[in-house]
Amino acid sequence: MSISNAFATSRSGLMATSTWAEVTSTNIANATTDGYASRSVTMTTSTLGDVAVTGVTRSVSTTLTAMVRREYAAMGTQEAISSGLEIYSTLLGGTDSDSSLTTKLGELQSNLVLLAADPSDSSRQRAVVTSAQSLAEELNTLSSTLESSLETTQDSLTSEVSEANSELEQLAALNAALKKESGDTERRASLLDQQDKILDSLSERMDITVTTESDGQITLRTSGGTELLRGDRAETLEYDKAAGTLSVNGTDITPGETGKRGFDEGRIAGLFTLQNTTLPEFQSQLDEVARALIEGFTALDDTLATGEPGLFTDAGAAYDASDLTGLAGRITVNSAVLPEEGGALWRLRDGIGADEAGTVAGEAGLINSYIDLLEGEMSFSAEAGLGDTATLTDYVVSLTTSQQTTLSSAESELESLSTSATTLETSRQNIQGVNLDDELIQLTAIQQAYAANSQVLTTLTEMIDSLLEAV
Amino acid sequence: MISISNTVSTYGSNLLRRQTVSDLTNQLAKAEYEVTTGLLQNVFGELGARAAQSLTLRSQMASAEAFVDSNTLLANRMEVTATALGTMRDIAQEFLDVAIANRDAPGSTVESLQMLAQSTIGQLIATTNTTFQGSALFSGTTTNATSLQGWDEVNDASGLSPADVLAGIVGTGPTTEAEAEAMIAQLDAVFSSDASAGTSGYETTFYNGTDLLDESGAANDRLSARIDTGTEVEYGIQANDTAFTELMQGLAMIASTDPATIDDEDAYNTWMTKAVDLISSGISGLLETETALGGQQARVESLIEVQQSRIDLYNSQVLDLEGVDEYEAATRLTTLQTQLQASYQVTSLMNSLSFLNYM
Repeated sequence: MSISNAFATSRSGLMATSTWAEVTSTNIANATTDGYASRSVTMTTSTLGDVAVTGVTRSVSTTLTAMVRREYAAMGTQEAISSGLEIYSTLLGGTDSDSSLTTKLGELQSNLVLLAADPSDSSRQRAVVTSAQSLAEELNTLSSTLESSLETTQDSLTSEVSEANSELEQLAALNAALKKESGDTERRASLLDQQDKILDSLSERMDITVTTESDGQITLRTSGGTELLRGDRAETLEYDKAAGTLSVNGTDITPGETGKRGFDEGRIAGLFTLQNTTLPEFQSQLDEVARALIEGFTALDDTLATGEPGLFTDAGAAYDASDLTGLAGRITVNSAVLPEEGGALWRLRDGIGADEAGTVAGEAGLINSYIDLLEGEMSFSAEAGLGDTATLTDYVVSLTTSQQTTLSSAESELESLSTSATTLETSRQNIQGVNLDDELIQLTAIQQAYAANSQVLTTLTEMIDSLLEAV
Repeated sequence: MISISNTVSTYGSNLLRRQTVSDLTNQLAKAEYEVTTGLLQNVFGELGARAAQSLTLRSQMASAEAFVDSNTLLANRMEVTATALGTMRDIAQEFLDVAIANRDAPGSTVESLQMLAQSTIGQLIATTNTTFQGSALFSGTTTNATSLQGWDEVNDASGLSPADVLAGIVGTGPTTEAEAEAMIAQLDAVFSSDASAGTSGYETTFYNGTDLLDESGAANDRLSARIDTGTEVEYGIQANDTAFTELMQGLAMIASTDPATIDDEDAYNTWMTKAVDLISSGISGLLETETALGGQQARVESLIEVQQSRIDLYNSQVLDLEGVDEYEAATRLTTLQTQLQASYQVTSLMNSLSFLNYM
């Protein structure tokens, strides 16, 4: 041990303290940066007594991170579903809405009842026609909203998939960079920060499994096990809009399909549920209502020749069983009862196919049979998922309820997921986040250490000076 | 790395406080809506599948309201019908009071009978042709047709007026009992609703509404009204019902021939007995019709009350489902307010608490 050795040791102390100060200042500066993991320095003593910084480490908990990401994926699913249905649900209306399907159907029924009491009153006939039109228009609006929801969903899917692909590319590039970076350096820590941030964002899109190698490189798989990223090679997700499928490297991993090694959670999964299940189901339920109206009213009217439509039509034509999809978007009121389109209101009383107004003004037979139709049970396709026999009103009620419940259950699921995600995220933040007070206390320690080391140097210098003077 | 100090992330705790505040604000908005409207904010979210009940109730409420409207109209129509029937009966009764004294043999008022019968027929026809909101009351489903043809007006359907038909059969009046009986037989055929009388028949020349029987002999539909879900009542009274035809026939017999000029006692007796009995039976027929109508009126009136109370019931059930206990919501509002205030205080306190102030 010599004075010159002591010089070297003090110097190493100053060096180490300045690195510590650097890390602490980085921590303080990034205290509010999302996704930043607080760093700490590791210091060791050499055999000579020197202090050296051996590494800068990030504080992370891999288990917590994985759990948080799984929550994010689940939230992504529900968020995609609820935001995709929001506009449609507003149009579908609540229980007290004036524009809901149940209200419109009720109005048609009420106006028919009033017309039956005085079948020749043209203002009552007009009221029936108007309410029939607004019922048909409501179905048209709902159907076209569903169509535009489907388009929005497909657009979102296209952009989600392309963003997921670009994130996979970025992760592949990060893998390559991490491979070159050896040792616990500040640069490595910031590469890992970037990696974490991208993984957080990717796991909102899709449920992924992350395997971390010792050098920080990661391998990504879908939760079903299909490989997405290994080393610097990223696979490309391919979204086929027309077929409604997602594939990677030729393997079909469409979410929601059984037997596929894909994934079930995440925004992409939610959007696929919307595209392949929810929206088509809603559409077929609306189509069933339109079909029941067109077929039901046509069957009652014996003034019609075969192939002619009744009060409700499929865009002017009779119902065609081979062309059911989208019927709700095409249903209209027969122009034969619309005076503005060359028809006549009395056809409500005398039959759509009648050439001349009947002489019996009080004839309520047809109108009463319309009322009976709406009051009685009708049959529906069980495939639409709302049972096969019900009155039209009940069917529309269960349609509204089941569709609105789909949205509200996605919303409440989202809410409860967000509660648990918050808890997990808070724990995760407590581990990897920065505590300013803690850093500031460290800063006073750094100040003291730096001052102490400087003091040692001054004293050593004085010692050598006094030695030189004595010589 | 295992750290000895178990720290809290400054950013994380800040984030958590922000979230708490926004959560509380959301709940506050919800409580505010519920307090001000008294209804649940998110019906489908809170009720789930039970929201279907609420929708069904609301649609039943709307349909009950429509029935109340249409039944009120029906009740008004029945009221007008009942008033018309009452007037007719009064008019006929007045004539009968005079005619009854001349039933078996000419009495002191026999001279004025023909004129009196003619004016009574005119009044009866006018009353029968009463309309309600433009539709005829006694024409059956052909509400656009005037019920009875004016006595001297030629009916386009036959080219004859009711007076012509009578004149064709009665001529100058019966002179013998046998003649009287033959004429009565002919008149019976005219005033029946079968087709045997041809174009001069009651339903062709006298009456313009819906026939009792159709061409195949089956009964035609009468006016009916839907008074409740699945319940229809036939309420139509037609001017070709027996009470009306009897009354018309009796009056027509006296109006078309002056009883004072029937010299043969037997002929007079046969003729007048038949006419007066027909009028008397027509009046009691009208009374029966009125009574039946009164029953239906009472039924409709009470049904309107039932439907109105049903609306109230549905309304209260909807409120049971969708309503919120306003006291509970108001209490929740106050609690949330306090909570939010506390959380503001904590946030501001935590943010001002930093080691920085002591360095």
